[in-house]
Amino acid sequence: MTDDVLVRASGVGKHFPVRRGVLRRTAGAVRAVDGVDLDIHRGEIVGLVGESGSGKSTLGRVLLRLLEPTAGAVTFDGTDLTGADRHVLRRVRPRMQMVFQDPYSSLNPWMTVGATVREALDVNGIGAQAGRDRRVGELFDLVRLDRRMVERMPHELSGGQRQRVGIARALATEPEFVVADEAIAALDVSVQAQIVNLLRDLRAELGLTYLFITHDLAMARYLCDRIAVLQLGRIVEIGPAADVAERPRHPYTAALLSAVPLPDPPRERARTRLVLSGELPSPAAPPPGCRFHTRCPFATDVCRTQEPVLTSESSGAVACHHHNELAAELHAITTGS
Amino acid sequence: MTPLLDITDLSIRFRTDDGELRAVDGVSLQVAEGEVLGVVGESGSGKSVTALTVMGLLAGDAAVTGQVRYRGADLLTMDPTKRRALCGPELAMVYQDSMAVLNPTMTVGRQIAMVVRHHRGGTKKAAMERAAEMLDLVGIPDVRARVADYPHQFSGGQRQRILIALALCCEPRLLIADEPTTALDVTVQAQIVELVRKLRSELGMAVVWVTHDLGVLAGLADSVAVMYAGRVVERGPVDTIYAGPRHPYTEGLLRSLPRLDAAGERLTAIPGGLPDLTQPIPGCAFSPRCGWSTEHCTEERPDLHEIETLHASACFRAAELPAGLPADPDEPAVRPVEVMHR
Amino acid sequence: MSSALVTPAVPVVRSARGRFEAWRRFRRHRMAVLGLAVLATIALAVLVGPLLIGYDSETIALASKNQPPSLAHLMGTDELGRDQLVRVLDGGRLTLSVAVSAVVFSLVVGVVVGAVAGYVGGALDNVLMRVVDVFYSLPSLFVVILLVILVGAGFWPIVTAIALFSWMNTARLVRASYLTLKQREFVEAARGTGVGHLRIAVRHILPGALGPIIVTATLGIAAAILSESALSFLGLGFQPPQATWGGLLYEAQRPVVSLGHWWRGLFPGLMIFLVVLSVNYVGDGLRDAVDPKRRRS
Repeated sequence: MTDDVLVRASGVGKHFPVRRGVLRRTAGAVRAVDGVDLDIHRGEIVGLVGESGSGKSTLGRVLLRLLEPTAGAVTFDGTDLTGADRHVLRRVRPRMQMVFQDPYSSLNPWMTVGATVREALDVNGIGAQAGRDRRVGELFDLVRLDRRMVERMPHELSGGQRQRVGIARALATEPEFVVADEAIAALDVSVQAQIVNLLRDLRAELGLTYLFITHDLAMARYLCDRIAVLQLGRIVEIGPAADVAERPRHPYTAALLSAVPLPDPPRERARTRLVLSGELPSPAAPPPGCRFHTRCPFATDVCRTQEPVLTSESSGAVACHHHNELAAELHAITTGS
Repeated sequence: MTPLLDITDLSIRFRTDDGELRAVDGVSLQVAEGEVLGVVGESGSGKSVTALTVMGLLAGDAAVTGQVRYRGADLLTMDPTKRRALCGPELAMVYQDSMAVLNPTMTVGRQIAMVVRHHRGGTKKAAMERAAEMLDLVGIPDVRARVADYPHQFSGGQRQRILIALALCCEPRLLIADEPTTALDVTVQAQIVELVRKLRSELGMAVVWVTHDLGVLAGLADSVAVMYAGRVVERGPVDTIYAGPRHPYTEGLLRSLPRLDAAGERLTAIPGGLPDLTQPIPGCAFSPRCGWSTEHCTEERPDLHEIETLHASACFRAAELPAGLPADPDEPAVRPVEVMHR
Repeated sequence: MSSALVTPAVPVVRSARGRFEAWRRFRRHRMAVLGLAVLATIALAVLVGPLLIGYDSETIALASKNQPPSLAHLMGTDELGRDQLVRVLDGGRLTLSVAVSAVVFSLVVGVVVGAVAGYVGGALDNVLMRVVDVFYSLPSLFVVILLVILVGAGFWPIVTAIALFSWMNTARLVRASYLTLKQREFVEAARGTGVGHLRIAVRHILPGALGPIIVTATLGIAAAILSESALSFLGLGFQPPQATWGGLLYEAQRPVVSLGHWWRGLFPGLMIFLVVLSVNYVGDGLRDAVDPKRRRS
């Protein structure tokens, strides 16, 4: 499988300096992403799941080299992007694209949506000048939008339609790898399904590879082949989507799962939840030991002092000192009994 | 028994450049004392506008007709001073955007204390005590120190809790929550839902919870009203609505939810989008997106009618819809018709 | 609804529709349209008017001095018997050219400085903003006097002198717009698809900064007219017999106050008033027209 890796992150970290005082001296760092290893295979959909503040958006941007990592390396199809010069980036960038969270702010309000999509063709010199308008029409077809909408301004479109424009823009450069950053979070539930199905169909049609960033494990379970769970900048669990969603091995995953409501009132009312207590610690000062121990109901002394490492298991990997003892309990929580 | 809140034939129209927009069109809803009613619909369905009308917070250019009776008295015709006095001790609202509602230049303790003193009088000190008590009730840690903090010093989930504390400080009988968890993480959403559930059983208040997500309501609501294009298309007890929806739109909403417990098959998205509410819609507003629609549906508008006790649907074919979600995913009740809409 | 079927191959992507939309929104502002009509009339009048009237603005005709408005002299005459209407129109041409040139000049400087400072940020932003502070704190009158003495009075020195001290507001407002807009997701999205910095700054962010630019421009027109008048008053502007509206007003002070020749002050004053008012309304209309989200008027 190794030769099939499209995107590889090895030991990737992204620290943002925290400046304080009049002199703006560096007073520490927010470690948004901290030592992440992740391989994304060609044609695969990897879900990146976590709460806000977990660093999942930052990691997505680092993989696309929209942000430069402060540690580790990112390779795309064998090309090392760390410290790559403008020449290399210019060649690679069209092959990886992003779909943004907020369809209201990710489209330029002063440009028609057609012009927004066409710009991606223009700046990358894709196709002959004369054929580009036709290409825009084809892209609109691809995302199941009426071609006549090219003339519309963003505010005249519904949220779902705007997100389709955002996808069309991302697909304009014929990318191989697409990062969808909470691409459905701002949409109505009924529209979320439309967009997720579109993403699914587009993968089949175009052979795309996705990193699907979301806080919704149920959606990740539905769309993704594998799920990686991120907590305070670190991957705490990774594995096939069905395994992670049905047999979580990390208490944090179990907590995320038990927060997803079941659309089944009697079961939902009867359910025992793993409710997280306390607030997410600041990524500027992560707690010592396991970064989850302040909120973990199963934390013991070893968790407070020693940071667990991500260890490979049968089909995935987990970073918890107690994952073996907890397996049965976490499974019970997940099944809602 | 008279319901606590009784909305009858409420219609709300806005004047826009494109003509008159019927945001709400003949909506009737009842909330009993202590009941949790979930109002669900897409953006543009009129659910938030309805909530704002109950609170008397609608902008002046809206034309409102119908009745909104709170404990028998019509809020729409009530003297504004009397009505304002109800907001707080009787009716209170939790909003979606906590940053926009809280005053950034005032500590959260003072903001709550101000509301308490306005409605209940008393000393500043007593009001601050009450504020601290409320913040503690909604689960803000280390309350003594944090009453003196400003809104931006709290996380999004905490600010939402503060909004709830603000709404509950005068112990309202009816809490209206307008998408209070939409902008939050699932984990925080679960905490807020848990909190409202607990407070409701402790204080015995009624709740109207407005949302676009049927999932949230499952563990929280007693009954559900589904709104589409300004009208209630289905309403009934929560278990009935989820187990046996009698309107294709409700069914579509349920089927577009990904389920952890029944994963695998393709989500059936409702195709298309909301109709243009400035144009007259002769038949059922949902018919262009509905796999069950017949010629009849496009010509005549179905009214909400009771199909079993407490359960009403506004669909001509309600009786024909299969009871419960079809187990076979190859036979979706809502056929995925590709409808191009504007 | 644009139900006119567009065949897919037709190039529909360019912003022609955007411009049409903007004009539609502008037209909804009645006062803005009226203001535009007034400005157009005045512009036409000062350009071709003097050619149609049988008088010359500098010919002295003492026989007909100090006449109130009449059919022969619609705006009366001054103490040298010159026709006021011709002088107002001639002066208007000069005043408006100075004002428009100065505003264009100061906008170019202000927008470029503000955009660079806001977009690039960091140390450059700091330096540019300190330059703005310096210009704010300079005794502008003193520097202008120095400048005019060194270079000599004339159209371009006067335009430069006015523009030199009026670009800072634009720079600050444009910088603020750039600072906020460059954080928006659509800018990141454009960058992600490979759009270069210059194109982002000009095509993506500048339209969003148009609102404040228009506001400062409209205020600038009024300020420039008044600045030019002040310079004329100090003897540093255009010299008589060359007329400007400001110059005419100052010349009129004594006749109006002590001789009761009201027409001397009324007409140039009225013109300044009309232009400033119309420009403000047009500015309002333009600001709304460039904002696609402002749907109701």
